[in-house]
Amino acid sequence: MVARRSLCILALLLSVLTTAGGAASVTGGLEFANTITVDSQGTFSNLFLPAATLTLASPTQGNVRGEIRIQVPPTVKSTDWDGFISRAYLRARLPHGRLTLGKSPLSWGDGFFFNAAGIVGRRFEAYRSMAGSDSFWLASLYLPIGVFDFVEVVALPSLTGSDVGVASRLYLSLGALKAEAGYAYQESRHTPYVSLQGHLGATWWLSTSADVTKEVEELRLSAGLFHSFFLMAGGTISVRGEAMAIPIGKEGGLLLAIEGGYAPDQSQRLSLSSTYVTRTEALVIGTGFTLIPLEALTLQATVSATFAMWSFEQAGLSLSSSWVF
Amino acid sequence: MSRKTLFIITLLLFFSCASLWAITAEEIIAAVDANTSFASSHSSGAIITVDRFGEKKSTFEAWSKGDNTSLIEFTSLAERGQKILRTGSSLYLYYPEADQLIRLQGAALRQSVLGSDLSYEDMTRESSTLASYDATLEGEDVIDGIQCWIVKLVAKSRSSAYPIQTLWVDQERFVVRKGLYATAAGRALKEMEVIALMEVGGVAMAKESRIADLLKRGSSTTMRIESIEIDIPLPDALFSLENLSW
Repeated sequence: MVARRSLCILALLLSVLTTAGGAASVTGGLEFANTITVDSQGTFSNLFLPAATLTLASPTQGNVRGEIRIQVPPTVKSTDWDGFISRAYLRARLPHGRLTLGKSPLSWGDGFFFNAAGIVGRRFEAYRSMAGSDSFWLASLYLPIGVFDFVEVVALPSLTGSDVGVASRLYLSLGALKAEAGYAYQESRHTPYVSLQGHLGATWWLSTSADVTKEVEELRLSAGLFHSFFLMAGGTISVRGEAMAIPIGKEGGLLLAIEGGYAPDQSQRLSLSSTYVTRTEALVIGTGFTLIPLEALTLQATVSATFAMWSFEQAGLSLSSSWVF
Repeated sequence: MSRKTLFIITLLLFFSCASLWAITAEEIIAAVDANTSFASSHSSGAIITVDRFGEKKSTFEAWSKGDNTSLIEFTSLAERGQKILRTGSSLYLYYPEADQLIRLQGAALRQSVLGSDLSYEDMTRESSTLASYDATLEGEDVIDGIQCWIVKLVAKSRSSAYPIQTLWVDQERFVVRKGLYATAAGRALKEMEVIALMEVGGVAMAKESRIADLLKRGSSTTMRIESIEIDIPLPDALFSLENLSW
């Protein structure tokens, strides 16, 4: 299995290089994050996480393109190649669509904190955030059915060797409304979903999905609102509110998140956020400051406090930087 | 001779008979719009933003078709592969990091493009100015030694991003040399000045212009066109979600 995947990656790497015609772009990235936490017993701990990425991508013009991204250390604790590969795909335009083969990001539905429509790969993570969209080994067929509408069909190789997953979605732009409807079959589970996004004073989105075997195992509903206010004195205030309800399921309950941000300009942003999970009565309050002092350099500092059952559990300070070169 | 050149020459001939007829604000704005409208174009350039932390440069490649359809792809390191598709009043963003399509609507259109003094809303303004604004001629002025008309535009709709615009229009080339964009109450929001002109298809257009968001202290953006081709064949498929997320 490892040898086969290594061979695939090697073939993709060669394809990226050959489709690039010698004009492949090479991009490096460096990230450093240090988190200091103290728990309710007064015990301190420190975690330092450096990361480096190297991306090789062919130009976006043409009918064939590819991209390979290597990450060190690996994204998941893994001994095989998979954890080191953030993405490795080849994309080709066909007469009536396009084909993507390899490891590629996949982002379905909407939601920054919670996304009931993020049905692909849900078996590994209960709540997939929009910002943290992952890459998956897949074969994907994209079929446009209009300028703003398309159908996407995805085959997902099984990581457990039990079966192959399949997923598809229909993406429609209906005036000011964006509608998605899709279905996934993974590890003997059927997961249909519907997602809507529009604008009515504020940008809103609403999604629902269900895991079905012989009966409905889990039903999820997520919703969100986002709005920006532009201050005459300068700067922008943005407000985001999201909720996820799981009325049916082992980990049922309500999850709430709110985030407010103030950006005096595009180089600085101060944010305040809070998430609350009714099932565990876990409340997290955090504040963060982001600074972009130079092109491609981002510095971030966050302070957070976690409470469980309304008792203090943990506080943390995290400092991070990322640089693209 | 292109139809646009013919139109400009006709206008110039018409305006040269100034002793018989005085030019109107509507005629000035119609000539400015004709100067900035192409059947299609392909350009590359840079957006250079200066703020308190220094200078940030983003490079781009852009394609346009008609008055309301355009695609911009950023080619600079920090935002390589990010794209903006505008067709009619719809505006979509594509972030390659997450393979994510985002449709911008409402207040989100007022967000800044890559931290610059340009907003997404600036990119969705109708090129037929007279369809959205009433124009009046306010007088004349000299900008950098160039004789200009001062034209005041008042928006017909309350939803306009800039309810009042004051434009200084070059009397020889019918190109805007300076613009002041304000609220309905007259508070200035943005200022634009053209730094350099270039000749494209027989008409003058801005090669380099500086835009300042007056609500941001110490910030300005220079937009520079490095190269441009006009009236070239471009496939409709270029301006689709498929190409946006390619």
